[in-house]
Amino acid sequence: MDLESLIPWIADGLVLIALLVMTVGAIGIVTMPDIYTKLHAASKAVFLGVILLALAAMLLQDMAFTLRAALICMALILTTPVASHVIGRAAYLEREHMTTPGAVDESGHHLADEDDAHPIPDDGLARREPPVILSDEPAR
Amino acid sequence: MHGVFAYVASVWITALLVVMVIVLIRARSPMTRILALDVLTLYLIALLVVYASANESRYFLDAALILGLLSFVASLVTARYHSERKVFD
Repeated sequence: MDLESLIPWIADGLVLIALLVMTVGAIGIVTMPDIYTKLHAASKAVFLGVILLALAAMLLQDMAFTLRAALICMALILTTPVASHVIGRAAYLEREHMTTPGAVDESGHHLADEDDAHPIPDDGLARREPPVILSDEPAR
Repeated sequence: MHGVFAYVASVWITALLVVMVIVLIRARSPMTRILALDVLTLYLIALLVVYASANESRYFLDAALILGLLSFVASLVTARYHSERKVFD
């Protein structure tokens, strides 16, 4: 058995690993309690699954396919961390609470407190006001 | 990849898409919805890559690339606009 005949099986293994990783990402997004922990599953697991699938496709196809798949990988590597960071920053600016057990907020805005010192506005009216832009000193 | 594996991967990723649509509908905060839309597009890209590799047709990869770039811009603009009410500085 030479190396050439092993390549489809390696691609199959990569596809199975990619499906496993993407399923772990979906489970993480469903079961994690708040947005800050959901971002972990979304920005790492699902993204790595797509990269693994593109690698499996690159192993089998010709050069034009490989270069396009590499372009997709490059675009995802460049854009996914930025999008995740912007979503996390937006959730932080909107004062979303950390409901994870044992969460620690070191920013000074007490987002991990359980006593609703800075409650999230529940009605639609409060969200239309201009949000408070964060400064360097803590809120209280 | 072999045909059976491509078929299984397509069905499995479609099931993950359905799960992510349910998360998108039932999410409580707007940021979770934006995150679920982002992940939904990642699953769509994965589905397009599997389909292109199974059919040996590379034109689906162009659609996947455009989808990825559009979802980046979409999540950036929606998250920034929803939190700061402005997109550009």
